[in-house]
This record gives sequence, C-alpha cells and structure tokens, in this order.
Amino acid sequence: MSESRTVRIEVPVLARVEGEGALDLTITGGRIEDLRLRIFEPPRFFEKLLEGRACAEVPDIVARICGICPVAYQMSAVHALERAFGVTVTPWIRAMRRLIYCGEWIESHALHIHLLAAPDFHGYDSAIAMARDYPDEVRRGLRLQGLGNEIIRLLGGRSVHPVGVRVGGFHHAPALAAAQSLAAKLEAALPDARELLRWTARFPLPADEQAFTCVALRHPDEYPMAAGRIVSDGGLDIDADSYESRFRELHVPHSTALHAQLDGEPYLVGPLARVNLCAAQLPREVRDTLASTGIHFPSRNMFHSVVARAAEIHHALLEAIRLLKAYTLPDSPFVPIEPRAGEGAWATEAPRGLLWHRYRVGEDGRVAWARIVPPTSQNQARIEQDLRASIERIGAQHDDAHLRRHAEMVIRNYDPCISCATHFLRLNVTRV
Amino acid sequence: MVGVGSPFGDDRVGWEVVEALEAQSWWRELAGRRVNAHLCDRPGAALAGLLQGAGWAIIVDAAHLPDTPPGTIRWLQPDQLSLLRAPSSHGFGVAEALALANELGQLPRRVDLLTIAAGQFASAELSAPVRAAVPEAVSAIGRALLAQGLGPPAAASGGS
Repeated sequence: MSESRTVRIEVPVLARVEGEGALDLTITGGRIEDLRLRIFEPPRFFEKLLEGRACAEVPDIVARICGICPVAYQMSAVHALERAFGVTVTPWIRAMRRLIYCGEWIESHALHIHLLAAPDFHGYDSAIAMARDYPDEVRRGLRLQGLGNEIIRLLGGRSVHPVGVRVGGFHHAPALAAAQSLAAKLEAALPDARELLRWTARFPLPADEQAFTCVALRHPDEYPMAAGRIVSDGGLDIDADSYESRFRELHVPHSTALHAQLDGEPYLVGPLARVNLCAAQLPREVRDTLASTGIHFPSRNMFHSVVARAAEIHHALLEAIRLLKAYTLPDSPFVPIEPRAGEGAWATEAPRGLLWHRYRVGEDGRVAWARIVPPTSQNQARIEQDLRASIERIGAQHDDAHLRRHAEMVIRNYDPCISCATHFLRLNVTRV
Repeated sequence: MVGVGSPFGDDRVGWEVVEALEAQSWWRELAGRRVNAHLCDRPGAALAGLLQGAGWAIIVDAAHLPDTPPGTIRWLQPDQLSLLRAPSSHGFGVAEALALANELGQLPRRVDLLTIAAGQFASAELSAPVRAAVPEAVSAIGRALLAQGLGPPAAASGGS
C-alpha cells in the first residue's frame, strides 16, 4: 500500500518584482513524484517597455527592475549599449563602475545574510526575532549594508534606484574630499567584514553535497564584476555575444518567469558559482580568512553560498577602498555618445549572479529590441533540482511543517527575489 | 526628524513636510544643535541605524488609511503599526525597522509618527488635498516641539 500525499506550499504575498510563487510537491510512497516551483507573478514586459525609448533613458528604466540591485541592471545595460555604438570608456569610468558595483554587492549581500539567511540557519522566524539574541551581529550587518548604500550614493546620487549612471559614464564626478572621507570609513569597517566572514563560516549549515554546474564571468585581471568571459566548470568559455548559442530560455507552464538552461541542463549563477570558479582572484586577505575557516572552495554544498556572500563583501570592501584611495577628479565623468544603429550584448555579475542584456538600436537611435536575462530566472531550474535532491536527502516522510521550513531555507539560500515571499510559505496538504 | 518617502505621488509627502520644515527660520536655528532632519527613500532596516543615539524621533510618512480622506493628518505610536508576519527585504517598512531598533536597544525614548493619508501614487506630484496638508503638518510638528521647549517662538506659532 503506498501512502500518497499532495503537499502544496504557497507563496501568496509579495511586495515587488518577480515575486509571487508557490511550491507544489507531490509525494507518493515517500518519493517525490512531482516538484514545481511556480512563479505566477504577472510578466512585467520591461523588454517591450524599452522599445522605442531613447538610449539615454535605458539606465533609469532598467534600474526599476529591482530595488535591491538596480546598479547591476544599469551596468549590463550601459555596457551593452556602448558595445552597440562601438564606444570605449576611460579608465576612470571603468574604475568608478567597479566602485558603484562594489557598493551594491556589499548592500545586497549584507541585507540577504542578516535579514533573510541568518535567521534560517539559527532557527528564527525573522531578523527581528534574531536581533534579540544576536544584537551585535545584526548591528554589524546594518553598518555594512549602510556603507554599501553610501558607496552607491556617492556615484548614484541616491541608494535606491540611483540616477548617476548614464550611457558613456556618470553624470557627475564625486568631490575628492567625499571620496577620501568614504575611503576612511570603509577602512574602519574592515574588521567588521573579516568577522562577518568568520561568523558565517560558523553557521550550523546543513551538509548537503550536490552535483551542479557553476556559471560566472571570468576576467584575466580581476575578480569578475562588470566584465569578462562567460565560463563554467564544465568547460564553457564564451563571450557575451555568444550567450544565446549555449543558453536557452524556456517557457514552462507553471511559471511566468522563464527557465534558463545551459546546453539543456540547469546551472547555478551567483556568489557560490563565482567563488567556485574565481576564488584564486580574491585578494590574499580574503583567501587567507577563507582558508582559516576550514571551508574549502570549490564547494558542492549550496549552503556555502552564505559564506561566499560574506567573502564577497570582504572583497568588495577592500576593492572599494583601493579604488577610492586612487581616486582623482576626471576631465569628464563620461564620454560622449552618439546613438546609432547597432546591436550589442553584455553580461555583468549582479549580486545574485550573471545578468545578461542585449539591445538592438534602430536608425533613429532608439531601442528597437531588448532582451534581459536576470539571475533569478537562470537559477529557477537549479532551485527545483536542489529542492528535489535536498528533500529526498532529509526524507520526504517528515511532516509538512518540517518540509516547508526546509524548502523555504533551500529557496532563500539562492537569494532569489522571490525569497521575499518564501517567508510566507503556506502549506496545504491533501492526503489521498 | 525623518521624512520617509518615494518619488511616487503622495508617497513623497514625508519628504515634502520635512523640506517645508527645514525652510522655517525657527527650524534652522535649532538644526544641527538640537534637531536633525533626514530624508529617506524607503530606508528599510537602515532606519534602525538612523535612529541610533536620538532621544526623540518624529517620523513623517504617507499612510494608506482606508476610509480616510487624503490629506488627513494623524499622530500614531509605534505600537499602533501592525508588523508584517515575517518581513522580507522588499517588505521591510517603518514598523519592522522600529521593531528591529527596539530589539537592538536603539529605539529613541520617544517615537512619534506623523502620518498623512495618501490618495494616489501614480503621478509624480502630490494630490491637491495632500499638498494642502503640508503646512498643517509643519504646524503640528511645531506645536509638538514647542510643548517640549523646542520649536517656533510662541508668537510665530500663535499665528502673528
């Protein structure tokens, strides 16, 4: 006699973005028969919205796609458009783009670790509940998040949906004194970043080794952020122009967000994929701290993502200090742009992973066609794969509350935008 | 004094009130010594850090109050705000930030919320009734400060 039960985990509420989702789980005789991470948020049509828009409008429009990582959308967009126009920017602009991106990594990662992930691993419902027992750690996280926001404000004018970025560079160059004073503040926070990395390495993380393919940018001279070739640990090595030759976006009936596959298989993007592929390019100080934790990268434990995130905060802080200390006022914070017909693709590393854009610009200098592949849709198939393996490992016989908590933790570990909603997972059980 | 807002319609009223306050000569005399003003664009958890070290905080924000005419001003206390069941990065609002500040022991001894009922979030500008509420909100803050020995000279608040 086989016991069959249908477990349905709902995510009914979401404030913004690619948010409304649910997990449908059908378990028969202790085995997972069907597992679907459903995303039923209405499509947002940003790509269509961009058609007919002047290129100068693109950075401010795409910034609205995400309130947590607007800089990533701006960075992929401006690079792709500059490629379409055959424009090369100055070293100053390149450095400042890396700096604002460092700010976003610090802000986004600190937010995820402290408000979303850490409560899971320490058994709390929320960061507010966790703050009672871990006040110093939460304060440290808020300080780091605040510094990330300050970096974004320095170049972007404000930290939410920054407006300082333009195709060709930045609207304004920060004053020298502002750059120097921020560098000093960041230096004072280095012990915080080191301690955060050590703290995450001590989290009671589940041991869950899985096989998966990592995809990230790789750059010969630096840890990847705004430039590089798209590589995988399976031998992939292509430029952003060739993305569509190996990666496919698929409609699946249970999700309004597209699933992406590399050569027909799920893959991982994000901090763990980056550290797994590019750890050797982290600064020595970060590598030494990582080595002292006893956690080895490349790692096959998805839960080491939180450690990878902390390592990237430490790295981004060091990098921002380096860039700010070398800061000089430019002759111009942007290079002139003459929109013309052309096409360009580019990928950068958003905090959550590879973010790929392609734009076709018409004779009138306006966007004729746009395509944006965000990290969350790239990770969707991988999240389903992980959920299946992870639930089978802990045993599908557990009660629904236990399964729901575990599934939430697995989903949130990817820091998808739907992590917002997974706190609200509701479990409806039908036993047949 | 914290004005919380966003660029969308009546949601910007928190900024507008604090900016109007900063334009008052009596405010400028106090500013930097006894009072500080901040404008926040959906600060999330960062609001907890902003309040650190303050003895008294007034937070000005637009409120979605069903069955309340737009522009209605109402003082609220933090315990009158309901928390989302479990906040996320996107849903971390004023109530959650105050709860977090409380857990961290950095909530000011006194926190008052001045809310203004919002009508619309679609245009870039304030709706007429919400705009009309801005001077009234500034006066209400002036009276609250005066009651604590801060704020506008009695003559000014007396309307002369």
